[in-house]
Amino acid sequence: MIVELGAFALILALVLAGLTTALATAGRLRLSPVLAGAGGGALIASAAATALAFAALIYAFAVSDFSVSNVALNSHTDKPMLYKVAAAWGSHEGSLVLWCLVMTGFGGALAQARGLPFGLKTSSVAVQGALSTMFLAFAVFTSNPFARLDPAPVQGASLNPLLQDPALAFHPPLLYAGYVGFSVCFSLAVAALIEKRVDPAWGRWVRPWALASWAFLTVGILLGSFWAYYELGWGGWWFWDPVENASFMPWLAGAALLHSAIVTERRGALAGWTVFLAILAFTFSMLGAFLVRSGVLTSVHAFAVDPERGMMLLAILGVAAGAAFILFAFRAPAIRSGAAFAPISREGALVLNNLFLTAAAATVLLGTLYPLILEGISGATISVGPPYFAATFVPLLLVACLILPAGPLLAWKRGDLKGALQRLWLAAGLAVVAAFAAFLLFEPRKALAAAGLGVGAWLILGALAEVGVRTKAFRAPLAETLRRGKGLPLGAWGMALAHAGLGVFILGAVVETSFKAEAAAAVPLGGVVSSGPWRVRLDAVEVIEGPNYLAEQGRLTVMPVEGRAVERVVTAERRFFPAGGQTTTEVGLDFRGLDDVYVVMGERARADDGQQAWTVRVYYNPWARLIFLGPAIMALGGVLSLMDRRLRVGAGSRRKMEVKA
Amino acid sequence: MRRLAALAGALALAAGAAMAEPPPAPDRPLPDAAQEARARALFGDIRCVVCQHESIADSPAGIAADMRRLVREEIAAGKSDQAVRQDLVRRYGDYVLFQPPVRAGTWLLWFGPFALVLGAGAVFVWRARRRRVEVQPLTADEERALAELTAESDEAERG
Amino acid sequence: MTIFWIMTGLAAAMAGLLVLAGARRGADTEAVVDREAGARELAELDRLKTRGLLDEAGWTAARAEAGRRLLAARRDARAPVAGSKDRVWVLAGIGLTAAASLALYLGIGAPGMADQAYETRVRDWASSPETLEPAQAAAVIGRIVKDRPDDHQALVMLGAARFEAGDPIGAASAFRRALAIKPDDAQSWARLGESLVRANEGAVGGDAEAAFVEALKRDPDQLGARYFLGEAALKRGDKAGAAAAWGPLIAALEPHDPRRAELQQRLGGAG
Repeated sequence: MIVELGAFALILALVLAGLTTALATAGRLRLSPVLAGAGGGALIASAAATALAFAALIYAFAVSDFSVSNVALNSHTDKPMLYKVAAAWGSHEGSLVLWCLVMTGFGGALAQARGLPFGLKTSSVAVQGALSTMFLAFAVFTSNPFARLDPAPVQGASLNPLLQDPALAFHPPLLYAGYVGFSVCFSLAVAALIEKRVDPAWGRWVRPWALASWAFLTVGILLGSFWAYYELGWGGWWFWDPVENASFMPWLAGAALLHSAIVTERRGALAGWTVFLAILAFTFSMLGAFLVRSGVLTSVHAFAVDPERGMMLLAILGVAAGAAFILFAFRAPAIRSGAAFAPISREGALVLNNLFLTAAAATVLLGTLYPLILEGISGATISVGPPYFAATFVPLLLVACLILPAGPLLAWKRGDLKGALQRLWLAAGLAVVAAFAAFLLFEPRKALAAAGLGVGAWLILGALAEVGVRTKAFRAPLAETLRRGKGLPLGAWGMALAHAGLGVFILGAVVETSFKAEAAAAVPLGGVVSSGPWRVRLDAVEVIEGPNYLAEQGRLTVMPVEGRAVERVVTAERRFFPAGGQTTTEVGLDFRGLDDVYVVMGERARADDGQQAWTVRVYYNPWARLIFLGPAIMALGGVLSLMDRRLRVGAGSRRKMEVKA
Repeated sequence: MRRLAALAGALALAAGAAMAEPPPAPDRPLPDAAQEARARALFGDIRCVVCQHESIADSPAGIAADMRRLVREEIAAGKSDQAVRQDLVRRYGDYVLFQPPVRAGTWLLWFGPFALVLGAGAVFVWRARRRRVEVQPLTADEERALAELTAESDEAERG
Repeated sequence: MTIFWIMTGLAAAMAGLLVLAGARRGADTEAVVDREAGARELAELDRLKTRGLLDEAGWTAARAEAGRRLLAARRDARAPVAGSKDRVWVLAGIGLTAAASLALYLGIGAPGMADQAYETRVRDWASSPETLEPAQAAAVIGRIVKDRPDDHQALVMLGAARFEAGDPIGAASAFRRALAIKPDDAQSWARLGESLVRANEGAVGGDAEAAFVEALKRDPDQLGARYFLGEAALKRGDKAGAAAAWGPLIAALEPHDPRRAELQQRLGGAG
């Protein structure tokens, strides 16, 4: 009964989303607050119905109801409860319900919001309702998560064992919150074009959504990358794989959007450009969903692949993005802000930031789609991988990072570059010293890596300098500095934190990429594999039985080659999942300060003397911790900015009203 | 007798069974450390031709092991990195390298983003130069109208 | 069934209430919102100036730009007004939504089909043990084993049922657990070996061979184990080992059994 209630709720959600668009459109045309309000109410009701459907789906997974075809295909009674529940959004159908839940939920929040002008709010609710209708229709008609089987199979067909991982259980919800959060920016942008109204108030409305979505997306990508790092057992954390790129494009567009929205919010400038980016960010989200789900691109992450569904997604993408961009082409020339600024100014710096972020997004877009397009046009097959991105994306990003610390020190309208640089000379000097020190200290000596380290240090020091200048650190008495620090808006702290986080990430990425070491050998018990400054000894191997797998578990001791660092024991597993006949690795990770010693148990082999042996791979990944710490700091910066009181639209004035009332 | 029946079943099974593929032999690194380092660097740029987006450095597939051995042999034979790449391209096509070739068909891929930066940057500078930054301050009339607007706002809040 | 329809009706009614609540709340009037936004924007410019992010001249100019835009954007206060029939339209929309949802659901869904939680189904199967398929039997016995994890007999039955149901790995796991309780059970050792062989697609791996050896150690009459040990020996080219393993097996077979001839021929052929 609960399952069927879920099936009904999903259909109800679809019809309610359609009702939203109908009522809101009528309300906007007839200027009727009743119809418009009812439209918002319908979107909230649609969100509630989708939530009910999602809860029913989770229930079906939790009790292993194999009469639901989705459960039968994607679950198994032997799976631990966490992964049974996570399987609810791990499958294509379930992930689509989650997508719709985020979309209608955020739409409901938009409909609840106060302080938005009538026209803008009603139009954006109508657009969000239309988007929700399309995706809910996709779910109900081509990917029904509640399709039933009669008779039900005795046992489920399990889920890809690679996905049985805590990081991956929480990766999709966060990623989707980010992806779909941009749909609100999209709706607000289309509504602004319809209303021919893009002003600071609009920028103020778009920015929290952009910030929240971007922060969610950051954490989502971070978890996905961390999963790839320790689950695939390849020692790498980013492969420039099409599916990774698919999530990276909206992230870059979102980063550009939240910077450009600042200019629109504070100064009313860049209005057309901000609208464009808001449309682009969600277009990239839909493109990402299409790339992942359709299987047009091959990838290590593509699990649920179906060409027909891909075509449906492509159709939705075409209709939504096509309509938005056509509207943009017609209306954008009419958007004039009248706010002027000199090239050297806060606005100018943010324009540069946008230029580089957009170009970086373009490299990722081209790198992902070009092989496909080229093959379609000329039949020539090429591969685009890490070397291409190292030659295009990385320099673009590094140049942007060189400019970055100066931006926050420039004034609006017309900035004083010399003044800004004078405040940064200490940071710049220290960054250069850091680069030289890195060049001398790291073996082997690599000039490019040292330069990269310098850039990372420059970002962190630049962020510190910015906070230092704002709080008059070391120039005024400590009490004064503290007072100023307290008075600094959360947004400023968030910005400094996010920029420093980028620097931390760059430090980690540069050191890991340039100085990692790897070794593999077939060793018997007691055998040793050395990699970088660490030696790893295989002490014991035993067969263990997990809930739904068999594993060979190796116990290994990590020891320093020289010096007196403590020895530590790690376990690494090679798991065999009989239900799907797949093999996975559980990496043994020894955290050594910022470094990782990363141990992978391989297949059985025979050593040279005919003894039983195991292939053991050891990766030494220096500063790998920073790679994952950096983005976490960036996301935290985003959250801090989001908590800034000035972004809580309407909150200030409403409080005033309450006091007076 | 039951035991024999089970045995018969087992016999039938054994007859139809195929030999499982033996695991590929583990890689043998080159004795010369410098050459081995070059080989490893190359592995990351070479695509495993039967895999999804994986380099031969990462792929566990048998063919990836074969390709690694091939690269090591060529390097041991004294070929330059460039020659090894060319050999692979001759054998498997451009597809095998993760670095696409620079030719007429891939200009957009290679230079598009940089052209975008330069073009958009030029437009921005041109427009910023054309537009005057100076603005006349608000006239007294305008100030009054604006004050009215804010005042109305206060009234609305009070109401 | 009735409860189900009551629940769907409730869901639809809740949705209708939410729509009506939205209609009641209405929308903010444009003019007020615009004015508030304008005032906030000017205040923001003042704040930027105090924080040193905007110099005096910049502030004057930015204020002028913003002020002119605000004044130009001030539109006639076309306040939204509710039409007399609007409420009727909303109610009609709600009615239509309920009808359309119901129609769609009757077309796509399986109305009234009960949930089939795994635990419930296993309980149902347990109540009629004679008509079960191997997979169902395995599920029922699995349930028993869960309650009595140290029951040797149940574990052996679970292994046999899983083997029949085509789950050799599960079977091997059950036999291993049974042997952990009673290591002297030769039959279970042999069945463990057979399960491992089937899981390995017919090839006799090291684990399976070890299991067969254990079985024969405890009971030389385990003929299945003998067969597979001989196979493994032949594959290694160990003819003597194969002959040793198969000798008693050949002796046990009827003289006219075609398998007897086959085994003898293979022993000869390997030599």
